[in-house]
Amino acid sequence: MKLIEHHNKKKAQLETRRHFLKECTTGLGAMAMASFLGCNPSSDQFVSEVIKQATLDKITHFHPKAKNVIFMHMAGGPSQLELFDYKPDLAKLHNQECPDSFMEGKRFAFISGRPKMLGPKASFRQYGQSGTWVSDLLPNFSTIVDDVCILKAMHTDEINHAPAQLFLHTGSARMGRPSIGSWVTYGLGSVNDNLPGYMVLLSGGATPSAGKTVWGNGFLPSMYQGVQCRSHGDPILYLSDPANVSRDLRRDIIDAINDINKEEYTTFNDPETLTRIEQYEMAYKMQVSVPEVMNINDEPAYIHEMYGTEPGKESFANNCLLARRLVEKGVRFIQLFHWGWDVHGNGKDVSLEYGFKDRCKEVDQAMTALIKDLKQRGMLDETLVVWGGEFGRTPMQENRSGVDNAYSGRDHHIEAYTMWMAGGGVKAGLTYGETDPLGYAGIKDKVHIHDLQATMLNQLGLNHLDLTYPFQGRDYRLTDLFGNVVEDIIA
Amino acid sequence: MATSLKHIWKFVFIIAMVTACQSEEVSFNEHIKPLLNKKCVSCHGGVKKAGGLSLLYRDAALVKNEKSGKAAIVPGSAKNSEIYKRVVSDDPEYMMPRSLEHTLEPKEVELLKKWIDNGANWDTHWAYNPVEKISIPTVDDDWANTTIDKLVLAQLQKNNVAPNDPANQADLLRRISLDVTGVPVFEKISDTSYSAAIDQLLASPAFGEHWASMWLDLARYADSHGYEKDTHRNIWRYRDWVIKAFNKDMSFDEFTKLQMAGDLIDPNDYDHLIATSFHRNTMTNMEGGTDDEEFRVAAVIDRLNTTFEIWQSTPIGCAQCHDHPYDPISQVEFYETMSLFDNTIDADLMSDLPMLETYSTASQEKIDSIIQFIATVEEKVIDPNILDSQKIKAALYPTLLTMDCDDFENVLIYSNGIISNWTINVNDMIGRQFYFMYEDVDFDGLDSIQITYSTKGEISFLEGRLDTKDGQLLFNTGFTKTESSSGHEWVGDQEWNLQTVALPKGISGKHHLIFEIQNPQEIVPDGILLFKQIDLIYEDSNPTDKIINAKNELIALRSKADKTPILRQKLNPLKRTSQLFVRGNHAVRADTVNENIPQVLNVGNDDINNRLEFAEWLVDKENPLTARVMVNRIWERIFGIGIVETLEDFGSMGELPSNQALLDYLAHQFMYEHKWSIKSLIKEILLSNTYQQSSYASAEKLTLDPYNQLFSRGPRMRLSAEQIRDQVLYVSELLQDTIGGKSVMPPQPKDVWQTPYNNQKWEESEGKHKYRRGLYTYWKRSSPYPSMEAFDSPSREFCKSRRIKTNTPTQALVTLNDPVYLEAANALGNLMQTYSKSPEEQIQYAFKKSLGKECSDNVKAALQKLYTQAQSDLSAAENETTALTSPSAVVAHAIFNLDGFLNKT
Repeated sequence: MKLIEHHNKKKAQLETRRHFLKECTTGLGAMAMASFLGCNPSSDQFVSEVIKQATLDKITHFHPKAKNVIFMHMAGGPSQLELFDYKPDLAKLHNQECPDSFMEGKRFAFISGRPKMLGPKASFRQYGQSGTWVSDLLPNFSTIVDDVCILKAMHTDEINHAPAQLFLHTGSARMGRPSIGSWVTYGLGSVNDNLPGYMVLLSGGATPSAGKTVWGNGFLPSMYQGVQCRSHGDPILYLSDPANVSRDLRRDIIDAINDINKEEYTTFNDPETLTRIEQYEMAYKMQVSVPEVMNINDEPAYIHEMYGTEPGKESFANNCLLARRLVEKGVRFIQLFHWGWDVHGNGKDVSLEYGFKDRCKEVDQAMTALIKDLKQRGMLDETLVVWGGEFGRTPMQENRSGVDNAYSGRDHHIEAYTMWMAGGGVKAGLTYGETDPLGYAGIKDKVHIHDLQATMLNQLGLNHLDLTYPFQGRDYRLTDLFGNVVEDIIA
Repeated sequence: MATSLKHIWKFVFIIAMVTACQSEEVSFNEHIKPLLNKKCVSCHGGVKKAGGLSLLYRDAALVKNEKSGKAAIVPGSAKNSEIYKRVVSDDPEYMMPRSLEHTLEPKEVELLKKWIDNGANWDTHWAYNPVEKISIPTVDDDWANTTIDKLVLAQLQKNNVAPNDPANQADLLRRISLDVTGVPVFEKISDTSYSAAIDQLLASPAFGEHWASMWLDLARYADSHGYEKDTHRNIWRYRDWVIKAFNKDMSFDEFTKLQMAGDLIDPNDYDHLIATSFHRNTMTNMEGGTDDEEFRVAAVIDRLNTTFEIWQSTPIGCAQCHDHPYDPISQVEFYETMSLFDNTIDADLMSDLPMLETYSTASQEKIDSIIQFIATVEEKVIDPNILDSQKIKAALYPTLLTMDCDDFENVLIYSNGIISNWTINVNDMIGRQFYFMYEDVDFDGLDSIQITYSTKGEISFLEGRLDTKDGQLLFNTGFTKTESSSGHEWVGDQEWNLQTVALPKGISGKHHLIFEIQNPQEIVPDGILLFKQIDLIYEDSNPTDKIINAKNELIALRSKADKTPILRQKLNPLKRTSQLFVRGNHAVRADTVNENIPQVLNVGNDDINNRLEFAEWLVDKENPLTARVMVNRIWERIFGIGIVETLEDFGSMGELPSNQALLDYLAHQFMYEHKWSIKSLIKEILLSNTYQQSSYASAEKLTLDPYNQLFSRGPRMRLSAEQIRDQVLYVSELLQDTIGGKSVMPPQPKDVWQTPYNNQKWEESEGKHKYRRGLYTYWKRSSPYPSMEAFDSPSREFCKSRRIKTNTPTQALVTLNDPVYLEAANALGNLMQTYSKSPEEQIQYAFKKSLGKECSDNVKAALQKLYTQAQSDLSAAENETTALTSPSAVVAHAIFNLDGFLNKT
């Protein structure tokens, strides 16, 4: 351990002004720094303070309400009109041609000519004390409406999947910017040194359209990248030892490597050598801690029943349960991806009648269980849960290339859609925002993607205007040049 | 945190100012410009000009303000300068900066005052001054053998640091092997002088492979299109071109010109055209419903940004939306420069056109003989020096395949023809026009044309025009629908109809033939037209069956071509008009702009009208940046840190050079002495004593020169992702040294590739192709090869100047557990056992083979202990690919994870 202490000290001495500013400033407390103004930057006092402040659990801009985030992304864009945004008037206009005003100067991905209106393909009722409207496709979710905040007038700028997913996760429709989870771990650090601070879980099938860039680090250092946990094989790539290497022998191998590396350090005095020694120790620990946290077999039967989990299966339900376990271990940002919500109606599996209902079944019970479970464990207050797609769906039936589709489906829609949040200091039982009687556009309390991002950071104690990183000559931030915190939904 | 950041800035400034005040002079570039950038320019710069004041240009800062009638700066008199009066004021209504956090420190105020009193000199930014021959300092020290050493030592002496002793011979040999070839070939260096050893290494073909990987990061080379489905792109010939260029030591000026404008230098030279693939590495969006024009423009902007990052280290991208906030580049200049790149034919098409076609030898022979046959029968003269595809086109004439059109606008081109772009996303298409054209059509004796088409409706038209978009109307024809064309699937076989239209008489000579597809009712799918080919019918034309068959065979052979995307310039009739985008939004276009470059960089006041002239300007010896930027890249690759740390930014927000004399010397040398030869430049650097120092970092040096920016010791840095892979394969004698060819797929864990709507599978390469160097690994942008990604290889969506080296536990997991590394350990284990029965000798052998030196007693003891532990603890291996097969392999495995092995020392 002495070696490591020595190293930390050395390393901190090396945090020159520039490196320091670029990579370590975000979490530094103002008071801590102020007291060192004018100090010799290589003094021991400075060094120990830097280590304390700049490494792990970093200090936020203001007092945070949430410590962790679970972001459930429904890739493809679920239809708000079949789930949350109840529009009886739309049912009355079913099969009638859509008004001119819906088409003029607007962009759609696939609709062409004059489409017909499509009435809701689900029935709605009000639930809970809050009297929140929810469709019968989400029977479980309807029991937790008093714990969630529903944002009905979300809107975005991007009409195609890949750019819209990038926009939601990185604040920009172009590739190359850091994802929100990277920004958060960059700003807040990690509280568990045996697990990555930002972990990503996929429901199987395909990665999101925008690829792994939605959890990429962009121009931030690669240690802030989301680490994908897999359901098959190693939960993290290359985690398993060679088949015939026992845990003891692995220890022996690492001891041999580290012993020789210590000699290497005395020969060249390179601080990076000490970091490597440390990282081999951490890798060794991760080999145990990751499978441990990823193994849901030890959960009691009632929990499995509650979530609908089946150990060993690649499912959204398993991922919801894993998300809770990761939050318990202090993982800062957990990103869940579900897919298959792109219901255009040009095939059975992508129709409102069939595929869409399957998707609802896949998520309804598990996401409800996650909220209930977090709540019963007293974790919901400090965990911000966010649910939604990259955009919504049109009130019109899609007619690809001007031809009616065989099944019911809706095209991509950017002007109005629904997302929901829970916990993490967000008002419970609130429905925020309103759309017009046909659900085409927001008419009250609209929330833009950048506003959502600003609000998420805000709940974590980060000011989206100040969480910046210099790149290509300017200070970039998640919300680009935009974004307002939605104060109305903060408890 | 707002507060905390500001405090840090203050703190930084105190340090900076303490240093500044020690030297008497106030330098604009060193003291004043950074001060203005940090504290003033966010309100008074290129973006915001609060109160009508911008501090980017001296002229603007000196004029009297329209409202107040006062000048911000009065040279020679701080007390009369508005800027100074406001800076020292306490009046909250008057003081500047307004935000307390920006308040200037007393020392900064002092500097500002002194600078204004001294005349407010507005020096040219250091990097914009011409590269001049510098005077070499006389340094009284034997160590300073070369000019590089003299320049480095002068700086070291100023800082009271002494250089290190030379590295030991073994470390040095390994160092030069890795730096020149990327692989530890030290044992192959024959017993010879140091200088001759460098020559040997520079002559190895591995040199080109190693240095190409640096260039490929800059060129954002990848094997996939990037967006969404991220489908395969066939552009490996460009990668091979780069390797070849490095290996034959192509001069950097030629290397530049060919990539930027090879098509304009010789449109019939394969290598020139492949070089232009450089700018076809931009991403293409194939997602249904996206607007091709939007992503074409995104690609063009990327070409501009990439070019300026690679050759000028100037982040010009800021000026896309507004004038550059810190550097003197205006938004208009951004679009003027962009227009140099705006007129290439490519347009974000699914088909990736235009492409260069290459044939297998067998196809080539057949094609040649058929062309010969047609030429003889039809009495055609076909120029032997043109591209094969052009020869085929000439042989097929007077049949014109639509996919062979010479230029087009807004249409889609599939393998079976041209289609009006009315398929999906119709709203984007409204108001656009759809053209395709052929140049040099012979009108003598041209009677009519026969159109092969397919359509579902009868509402669209095809119009023919002579020479220009609004030239003489040749015909306008509607079409009868072809019943069997189905759905919106336009690729594949269709039922084709023929339509013949007569042409007006009396036109003679060669002319452009321009077609416009019109869908006046804007209806789909009925308004969609698909054209397969156009046959020109001459008065005397009467092709025989033999000729028709020969031509069909030619068309069939052509479809087998290997195609590489390249650049080609648009033809005049369809040339694009470049405009400024309001706030950078391509959909809102304003004034037309003409080709030009930013004034601040146009030292020679050159008139620059096209890509070739632009390329020539880039490598003009008067260009102050190109040589500096390139030598800095090479220096960084060798030393781990640039002389200018910010490789990507030589502007006022970048770092200043740590040793400008050294940078300028090398830049001058590169252009005038080495005549742009990269090999000679590398050799000069490697011959210096600076490079040959030991990399030991004493406690003193860690304090005085923590990042080795003074070059007070030899370089020690972690190897690149490619090198880490190549090294274990090399040491275990698995490495396959074939140069070039299609990208390969070495083993990768299952399910890493899961791209939506894309059936492409990771199909493990067979035999020796599993063991190719890292740079040949299939590079899919949305899903990079995981073990290399862990070691910071970029995804190559955009130009990347520097890989920030990280040191993470995931890296440890790769070298500890990736089957590729286990296989290599097993292979080395086998070699060890063949070498000797004695574990001790095996260890010595393996260590020396891996690191080029004898292992110390401690190392030997540690590895021997491990060998013994493995003897008792290693279970039998059931499946060799996921196991270590012997105690020797366990030792090899440990060596592969040593810090000394993963680093260049």
